[in-house]
Amino acid sequence: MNWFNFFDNTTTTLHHPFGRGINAKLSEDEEELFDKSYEAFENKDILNAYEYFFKSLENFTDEESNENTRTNLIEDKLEFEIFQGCARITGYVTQEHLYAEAIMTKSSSANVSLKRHILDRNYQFTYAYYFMDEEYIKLKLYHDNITMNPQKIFFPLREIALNADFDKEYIRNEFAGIHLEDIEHLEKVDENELQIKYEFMQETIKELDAKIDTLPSNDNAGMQAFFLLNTLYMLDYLLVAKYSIYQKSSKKIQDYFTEENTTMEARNNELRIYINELKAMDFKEFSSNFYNAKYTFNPTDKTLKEDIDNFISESLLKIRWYKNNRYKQIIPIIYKYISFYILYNYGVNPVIKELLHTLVEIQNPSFFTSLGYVELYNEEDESFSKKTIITRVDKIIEPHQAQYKLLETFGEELNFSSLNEFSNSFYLQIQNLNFEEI
Amino acid sequence: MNTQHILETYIENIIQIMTPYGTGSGFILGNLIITNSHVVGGLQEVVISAKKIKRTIAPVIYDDPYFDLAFIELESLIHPKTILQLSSNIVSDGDTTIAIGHPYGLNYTATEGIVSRASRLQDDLEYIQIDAAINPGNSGGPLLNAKGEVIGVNTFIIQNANNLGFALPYFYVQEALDEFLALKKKNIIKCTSCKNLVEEEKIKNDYCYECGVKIETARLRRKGYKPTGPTKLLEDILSSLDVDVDLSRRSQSSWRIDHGSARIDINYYENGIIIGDSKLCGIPSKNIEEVYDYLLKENAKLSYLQFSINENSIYLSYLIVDSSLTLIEGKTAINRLMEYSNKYDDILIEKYYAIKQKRDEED
Repeated sequence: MNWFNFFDNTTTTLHHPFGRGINAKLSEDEEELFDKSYEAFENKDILNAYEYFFKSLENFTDEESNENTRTNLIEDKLEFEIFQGCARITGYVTQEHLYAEAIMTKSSSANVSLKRHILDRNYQFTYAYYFMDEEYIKLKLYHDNITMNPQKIFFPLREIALNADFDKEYIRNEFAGIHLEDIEHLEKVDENELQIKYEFMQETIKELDAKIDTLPSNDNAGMQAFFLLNTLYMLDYLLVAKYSIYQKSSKKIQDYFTEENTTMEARNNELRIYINELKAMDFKEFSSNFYNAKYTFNPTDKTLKEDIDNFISESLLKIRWYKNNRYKQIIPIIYKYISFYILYNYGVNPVIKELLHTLVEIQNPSFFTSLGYVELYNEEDESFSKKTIITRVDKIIEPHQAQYKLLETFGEELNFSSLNEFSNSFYLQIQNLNFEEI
Repeated sequence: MNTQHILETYIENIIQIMTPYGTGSGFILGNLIITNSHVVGGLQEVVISAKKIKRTIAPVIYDDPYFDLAFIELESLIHPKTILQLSSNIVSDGDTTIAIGHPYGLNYTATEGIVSRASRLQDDLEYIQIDAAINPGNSGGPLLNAKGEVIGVNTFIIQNANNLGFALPYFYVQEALDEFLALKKKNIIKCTSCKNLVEEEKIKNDYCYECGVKIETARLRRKGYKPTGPTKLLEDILSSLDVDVDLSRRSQSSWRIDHGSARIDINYYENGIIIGDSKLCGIPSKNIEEVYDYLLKENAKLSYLQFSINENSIYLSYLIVDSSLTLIEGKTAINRLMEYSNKYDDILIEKYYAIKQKRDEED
């Protein structure tokens, strides 16, 4: 027990992006705005319907709008902007239809490979498609309003926004020399923050190398995989790198799980080579992979709670196996891996997301304290800021109890005897959460 | 005769049969097309095609779920160069057999095998068990002997087994033909209970007027195929564009339309997305970037439609979610898809030297 932290239940107002989804909160009136939009569409009050709809997509940080969507009504036309990372979607709505577009790059700068790439992409899209005018290559969306409602317009706008963002990052990474257009809205990341992230990455990789060296010399591919994948997931979630680091990390992780014809050793080796590339990266190059941006749509679809519970159960079984076989060095890594894996792969609801983020904060205290966050776990004396953690857990859950009557806080149920026991109890409590709406 | 020779000799007799529920095979015998009852799916009309028969609608005039046989009227006078004959020779174990049909829509596929057992009893009917590889789509096709005579109708296989096929023997076919022709009437159904042939027009409320049981085939024929929801709307749109929907329908959720030099495939997927695609041509081998520029610039002008590339082919497509489909907009979009596909394939081939698509005209 850390007595200095006993009365510490302060919360910080720092805001750093973490992971690939949206960190900001939706409006408290989101559901009401969505319903109003639906009603207005029913009444053919199209412009107001869209205005309510765009408002329902607005997200907030500390009760302040992030202005991730903007509208401007000019007579019989509603102009709008949607921000999604690298992409800025602009467009307008009339009584008859919606038009939206995202400027990607200059037509004159596009090479044959980029043109082929975007024509190939056109075949993959459902609603949006690429075209070229005299000045720019753009991704566009046209939709009539005849049968429109908020559900129907959500998916087309999500498609254009997510893909414009993804493709802009892809273009910058894949086609050297082609400059992205319409990215003035991106903000630089604070130099000090970048330095902290760079040092954390270097330190993490150094520790990884040392830990892998401690593994038994044979039959350790499974354990190596946990170490390597956890490192990539962790760097992805904590650093939130963009451009080439984002693209390459995504590709390496995807290849790891899809290349069935190669051995685990070979796949581990591929990850290790890439992690060594990250290690060799100088600060200047590292820094060029970061920006701050507003986001409107989540990239992952909602995952069933059952799937998350199953993943936790399977992972805890693996931990038990390693424990029984006395491979203790891998156990804390798998406890970390579970959170990062879920946060990377699953579209989790806001409660689970915040809870897992809290666990990540507890499991990786040095990174968070270096960014200025309150320490939740002291690695040296292995003590927890128990009161703060309990308060945090309760504060995450309580606002949702009105909606989910069977949802119970669990701060007091956590096991603070060691970090491993704590993580174990935290996952078991997440499995116990009941989101049934009655 | 070897298999290749038999196929070449009798290929004009082989029929492809299409319904909204699937495709199967059949063969010409006299003025009738013989197939399985399960191939015609309880419908009064099906779409047929053959080497010398363009896709056309043909009436099912005899439906016999007991023997799993159906006869389709061959309205146009097609005379294959060499006509198929029903065998009258006893089939023996080990005899060479050739199965011809359209498995999985692969036209005119002939597979050779032997008779594994000349008489295998299934329920109370005898079947010829063969080891020739027959697959879904072979149903209703002929099983021939080495002389090219029909010894059976390929009827069923044992799922997930290797080369266990069963054909209804020629003598049942002859029996059914004799009974049917003796009546000199059309639209006959065999009652599966009393085995009597009953006239469809005399059936009331689907009850067999001989034995009093409900005849499922009668109910299905009366009900017919009636699309609903977005499928119906899509078919209404196609009808409003003077497309023969019955002929263009490939299944309950896919349609193919040939318009000028263009071919348009429309598919309605389970996730609610409707995609109208026209595969216009292959990308050229020279000045490829010019084609890309052209397609991307045309995309700026197009509404409803878009150019894309998939596996080296250029597509013009229309995509819409079923819940957003309306008669007016859908008609405009599909009409444009038909007209523009017909126009753009010529432009791309003549002006940009794009590669003309190879196409199976019988498909």
